[in-house]
Amino acid sequence: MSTARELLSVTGLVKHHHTAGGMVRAVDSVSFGVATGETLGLVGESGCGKSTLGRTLIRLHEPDEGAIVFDGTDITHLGRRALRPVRRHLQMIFQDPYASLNPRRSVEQILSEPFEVHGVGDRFDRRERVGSLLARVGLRSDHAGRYPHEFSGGQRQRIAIARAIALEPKLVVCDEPVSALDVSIQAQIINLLRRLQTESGISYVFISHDLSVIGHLADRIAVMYLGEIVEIASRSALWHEPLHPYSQVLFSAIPIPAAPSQARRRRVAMAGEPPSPIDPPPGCRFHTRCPHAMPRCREDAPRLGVVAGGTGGQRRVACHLYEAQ
Amino acid sequence: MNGTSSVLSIRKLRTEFRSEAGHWFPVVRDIDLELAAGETLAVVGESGCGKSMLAYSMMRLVPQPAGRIGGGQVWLAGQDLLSLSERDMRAIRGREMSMIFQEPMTSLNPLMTVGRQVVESIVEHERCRPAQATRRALELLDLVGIPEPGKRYEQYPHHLSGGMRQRVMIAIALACKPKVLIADEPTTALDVTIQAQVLALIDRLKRDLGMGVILITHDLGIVAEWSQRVMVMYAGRKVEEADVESFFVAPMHPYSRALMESVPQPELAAAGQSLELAEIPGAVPALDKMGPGCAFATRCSYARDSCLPAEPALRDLGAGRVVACVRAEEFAS
Repeated sequence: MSTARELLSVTGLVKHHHTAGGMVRAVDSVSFGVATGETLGLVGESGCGKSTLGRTLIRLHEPDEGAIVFDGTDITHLGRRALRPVRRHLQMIFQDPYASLNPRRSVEQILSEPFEVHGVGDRFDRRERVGSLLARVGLRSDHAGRYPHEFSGGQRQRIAIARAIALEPKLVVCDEPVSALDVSIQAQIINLLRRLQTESGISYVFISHDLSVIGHLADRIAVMYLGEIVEIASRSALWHEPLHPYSQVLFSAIPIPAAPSQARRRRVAMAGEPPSPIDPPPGCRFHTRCPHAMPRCREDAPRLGVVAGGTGGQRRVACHLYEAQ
Repeated sequence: MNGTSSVLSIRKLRTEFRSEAGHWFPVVRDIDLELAAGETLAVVGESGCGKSMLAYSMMRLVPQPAGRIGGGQVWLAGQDLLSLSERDMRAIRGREMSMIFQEPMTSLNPLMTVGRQVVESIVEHERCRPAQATRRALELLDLVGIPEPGKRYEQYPHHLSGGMRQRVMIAIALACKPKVLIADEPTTALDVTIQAQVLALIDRLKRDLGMGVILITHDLGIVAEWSQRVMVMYAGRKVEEADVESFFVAPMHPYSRALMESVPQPELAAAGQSLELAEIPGAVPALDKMGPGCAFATRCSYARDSCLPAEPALRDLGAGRVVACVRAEEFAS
């Protein structure tokens, strides 16, 4: 990842949630970068903070600490007005397109809105833009007059994607965009997102609990556990040789669709379930479930440090096992 | 596969729904199925292929009056379930054949402690003293890997995580040691590490209790790892059945092949191979408006003119493989 072409840079990001049970550090001191044209996958189990991180990145949530630098501008504390010109370059796609599309507005109205809000073109010009957006996402121009309920789940996700790319954004955060779709439809949407990236060099932060989808799409992958990034590395490095004990458990748990005689199988077992994020364990947060936990892991929280060697270039891991290197 | 060891035999099962226009159309069409003790049969297909309705039909839980079982037989423990009275059928459910669902929260009673729900499922089917039932319930919670069963017994479903709730559902389903367990997308709502734990649990209990398991899933990875045989459904019909090994080596129905090619294969992506996934054009046909030919023909890249006038028969190709495609032999490895 060359810093010269870094589009997004996040340093020490913290986001708290206040819940009935107490304060949750949903995102805790997270740092990473995303390069232009790159897809960064964010993986981890329910409650690990990946969705909160995605929303905080584009300022749908206000960060509590840390800094977000996007395309050379520190957007961490930008006010509404100052944020507006940045917003067009920073978009989001959600899991359930039905919930994010206004059912009372036609596709044409939905897709014209970004142009209206940002004062792009006149009415005639916008109609043309809507037509070409529909074509780019594989819908027909006569779909413009229809309403969201007239479409299938896959088509609705295409509409949501069309809206997200309307203003030629530089970064799109995709939060579980294919999780509700059947595999054949999922394949269509994944191919579409990849094609749009090739055409216009968009960067994606792709959030998914489905490691096969992430493994297919992401250039690099960040693994989260209880609000922290525990490992960040290239796709092939994580896929072939995950280093953090939690990454090892996670990646070995993926069921592989191949003949039993041909599948490599070395499942790393893990007991129990994630502890409460309200009261995370001291030291390394994974030590309560870690097969390699040492006495110091209970007191001393490991830092996300560079680990040399292995396949696939630079990677960073937060684990005492690798600190000696 | 041979009839003598089957715990469950289904013959020409047909389930129908009533269209808005008032005529009955099939959602499960002429399904034959054999399930052996200690075997897991995976049923795969996309939304609307009829896999869940097949399960509901076996349990005689087809929603009425919108739906009905239109014909066939479901043989379990020497009797045809479709010929039983509703009262006799109630005794079968839970005792001889149990079912677990995708979202355990909707099948558990939120107002009743976990322990009482397990106890209820025990006393519903067999006479036993309260103290005995309580002890059995605690044993069951322990059996399905719930830590501190004594404490969990007193808790309500919302106190438990999704994985723990699914374990409770399994405990309830297994309370009376059924011969057949039907698991309908049992881990779809769970995280991948918890999914592995729950599927391993079902697999272990299947062996310990000698049950047959019908595992309904859309995830081909789960099929490959946790079942011995697979049945692919499309538009309410069985289009392919095979043992898992030969199925994954060479799927022989074009729909099976298309499904397999549309699944992300990070193994290949990590090795720098093609990143373009195969797409299946079009959509699943509306079941109440089906033509006479092969239901997949309009989306099939191998279709010929002969696929359109009449539906291809389900042919036995030997070695436990049946395929409903005129060109199946061309796909043999």
